Amino acid sequence: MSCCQIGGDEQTFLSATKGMCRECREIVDARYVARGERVFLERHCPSHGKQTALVARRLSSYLEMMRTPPGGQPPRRVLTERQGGCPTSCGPCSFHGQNCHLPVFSITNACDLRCPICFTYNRTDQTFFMSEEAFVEQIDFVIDAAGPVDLVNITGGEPTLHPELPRLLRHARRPEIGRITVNTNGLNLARNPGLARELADLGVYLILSFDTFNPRTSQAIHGRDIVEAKLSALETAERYGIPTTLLMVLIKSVNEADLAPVVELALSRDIVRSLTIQTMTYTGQGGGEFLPRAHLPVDEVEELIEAATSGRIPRAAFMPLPSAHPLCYGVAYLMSHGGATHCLTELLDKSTIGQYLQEGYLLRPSDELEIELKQAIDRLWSEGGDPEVLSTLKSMMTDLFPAQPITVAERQRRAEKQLKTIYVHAHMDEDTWELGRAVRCPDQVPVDGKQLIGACNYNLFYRMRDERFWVTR
Amino acid sequence: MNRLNNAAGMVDEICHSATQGLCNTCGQLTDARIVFRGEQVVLQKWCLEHGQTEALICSDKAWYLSSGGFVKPGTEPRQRAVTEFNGCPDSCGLCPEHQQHTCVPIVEITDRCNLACPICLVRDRCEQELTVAQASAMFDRLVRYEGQINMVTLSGGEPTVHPHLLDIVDAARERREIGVVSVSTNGVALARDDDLLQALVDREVVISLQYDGHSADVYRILRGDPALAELKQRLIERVVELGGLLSLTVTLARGINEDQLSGVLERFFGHDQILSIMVHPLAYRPRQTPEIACDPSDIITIPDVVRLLSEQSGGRLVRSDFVPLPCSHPSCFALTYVLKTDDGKFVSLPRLIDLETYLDVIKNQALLSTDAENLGKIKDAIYALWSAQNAVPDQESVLRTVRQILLQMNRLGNDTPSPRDALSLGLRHVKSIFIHQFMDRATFDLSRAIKCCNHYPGADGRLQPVCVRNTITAPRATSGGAGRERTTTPDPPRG
Repeated sequence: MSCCQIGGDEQTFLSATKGMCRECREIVDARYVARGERVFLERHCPSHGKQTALVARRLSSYLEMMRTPPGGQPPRRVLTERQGGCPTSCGPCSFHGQNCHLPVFSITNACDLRCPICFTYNRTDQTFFMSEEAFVEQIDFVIDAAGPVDLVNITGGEPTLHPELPRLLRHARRPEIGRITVNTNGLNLARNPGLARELADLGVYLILSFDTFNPRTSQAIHGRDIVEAKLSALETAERYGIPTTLLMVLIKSVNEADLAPVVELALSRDIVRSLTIQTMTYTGQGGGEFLPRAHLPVDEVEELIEAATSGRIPRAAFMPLPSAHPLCYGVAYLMSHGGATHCLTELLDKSTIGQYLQEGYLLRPSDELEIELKQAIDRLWSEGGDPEVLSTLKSMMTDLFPAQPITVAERQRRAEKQLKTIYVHAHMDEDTWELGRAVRCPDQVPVDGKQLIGACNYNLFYRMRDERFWVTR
Repeated sequence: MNRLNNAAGMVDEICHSATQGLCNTCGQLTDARIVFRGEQVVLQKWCLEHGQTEALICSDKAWYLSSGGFVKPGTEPRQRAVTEFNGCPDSCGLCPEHQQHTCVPIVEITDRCNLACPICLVRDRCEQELTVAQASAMFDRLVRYEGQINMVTLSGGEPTVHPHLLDIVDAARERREIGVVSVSTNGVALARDDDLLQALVDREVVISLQYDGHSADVYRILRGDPALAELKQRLIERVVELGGLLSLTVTLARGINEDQLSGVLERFFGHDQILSIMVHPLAYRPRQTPEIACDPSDIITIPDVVRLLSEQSGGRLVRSDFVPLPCSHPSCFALTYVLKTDDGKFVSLPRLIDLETYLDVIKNQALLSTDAENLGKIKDAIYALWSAQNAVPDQESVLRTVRQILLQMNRLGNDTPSPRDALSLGLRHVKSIFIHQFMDRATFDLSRAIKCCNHYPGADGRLQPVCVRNTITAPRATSGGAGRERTTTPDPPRG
């Protein structure tokens, strides 16, 4: 019944909650327990018995993460009446605990890949492209419901297959939206430089999925070898100056060997502003059947990054994103200069960094942060800190806070060049869905101008009931 | 839509985690979440029938967050009365999924009581009383479940009104696996019946006396009788006179006896025979009198008690002396042990030994643990203290006292000393202050019930966590998503 190896170690109970039965998909009693060092979500289904899934590699890191003060804000507006309980009346209902900080728009079900690791649902018999009117309506709805947002994410399917993508994106360029990000597998972009130019002109950021350098691994997880196409998409982004996030899905015993080169790629290319490591999610049209099913928790990924970088990016550089549940998001900020990498945590403590992250995903280079950084640099200097680090910091400060004032947006852009971000993001599947994580979700999907649904709740409970995306059988 | 708007528009309120709680209105198990509002930690429940209700669970966010780190693996009992888990808390008793053994069994030997306290937790009194044979069978079962039991508490009702109390005490003491017997009493019968008191003292019973303070008004409000103030004072003096052992149990109620802890502490520090203080913030029940506020958003929580104790201790205690008890749920207990030095000073144990060792050795009992492993750890810690002579408050007298304890430990030998020997050793040197936050319907958190170590043995052989027994009344309905309907009708005991 269980999907994880369980050691016979001492058991430490942590908390009671609700989880999901993989067999019948009912919401059932669940609890977080540690066995020895490892932390599991254990579900008790009256019909299908006990099931467990690994959610943290170490009890000590779990406890440390859960001690992080939660941040963000409660939903600006409650949109649905709580009926039947979570997750049956999403919207957000009054039980939801986090405002929408990252709205996610699925504008099409079209995709030119059939990835065996795909963790969502897209019907292939009938193509759906969101109309311009519907898109505008959704954007208006999100801003009305959640207020201004730093980021929006356009996804699909493969959103670059939408024939009107640039027209849609133009509607998303409004003062209430800080930045538009577009997910892509890169295939269309590699073939279609015209589109790249348009995206560059629109000022969007790309989120390019990049899981492996190995053709055979690519075959196994994407259904065909697309390594060259990915590299060529990255070159295209570079050529047109489209700031890019690399998105790697990390799968235990499948592409762990790719972690080191992908991190290296992210750190070495200027155009790559951030790297998101998403852990494999065993649900959806591909992922639901994908084997071996071995959950990779956020803290374990952080340890793997430490190992992959020979300690250059230690686990201590990571902290939970305050606006999300700690089992969902970890984040680290890196300063790269002259080939050396330093972690922001060497300079500022995590609670200070947390304060500048309260609202969401992006560290804001505000005047207050400038003061914090200057004080930290002075402290480092007076303690006889590494001259190389000090010089890196000084040049960063001169760039971010020059004598001639620059706009907030420009400073943000410069900050992201100077400070690369690594996000570690674990989605939930049938084994790991947990009420507390669902309730704290800040990534939300607008549905029909009426509901904002946490991304994992949407993916696990709503999308397959939407005829645009899946055929209800 | 306006009606629903802004339910969360209250400023500075953010969700930390989810759990399961009880609807304040109907007591149904519901989805719940733990929310930080300003400095406070609030448990919010969503009943499908009665909507949102909530309760304050901790007045100090920082205390709550840091207490989450105080966890320890559960101890497996030797045997469990229930072999099949059918959902918590429906199949209580201990079922295979309960996460802690029975550290403190509370045996209710009678339902009768000679007081009618307005704050009484026990409801639906019927005139039930255990026979000596039944009590004896219960002790047998407890020994079978647990092996060794350091302390058994006889409770009620009022156990001293049981006509065969002494026989039951003897039945417990006959079993060498049972260390110390304590009787949880309001003291009324003992104050009147000196022979009974003497008989308990002769049997080395710890008299765990309800002691809510020194003011008559406190007893009028909480216990319905102002004369109890004087009665309790006289009883304490008499027990001390007889050389008996005492523990003082304070029920602390908002606005009623928060100022009484100084008097409690004075007596505690003043008499060697008072081994421990146990402070219970009052758990509310709907049918309390109007004089006792019943506002779940304004209760006393553990960090408040820590503050009150520190403020009223004349400088003897500080906040950092108290830590959550890691073997139960960290929201249930906080405690400190104090060492009495040979020149009559008191130094809290966590100031003397490193936190890790301290957390390792503390358990849910008035006396430091007495098994060989723990004694070994304490010994090591004390040796370490001895060799690092610079960082110790009241160094000279502490070290002299420590030497004495070591000598006595050696005299007890390397074998596990009997709980009674350890008691007499502890009695001379170490006292404890416990804060125990019971749950009521409003504050009930299923996470805490699952790790509970304070159990009522029932006549049917089952063991039920105290707060489950005191709060769960309603059958379980579908509240969380597709959760299935279950009832609280217990299955027949198995095993």
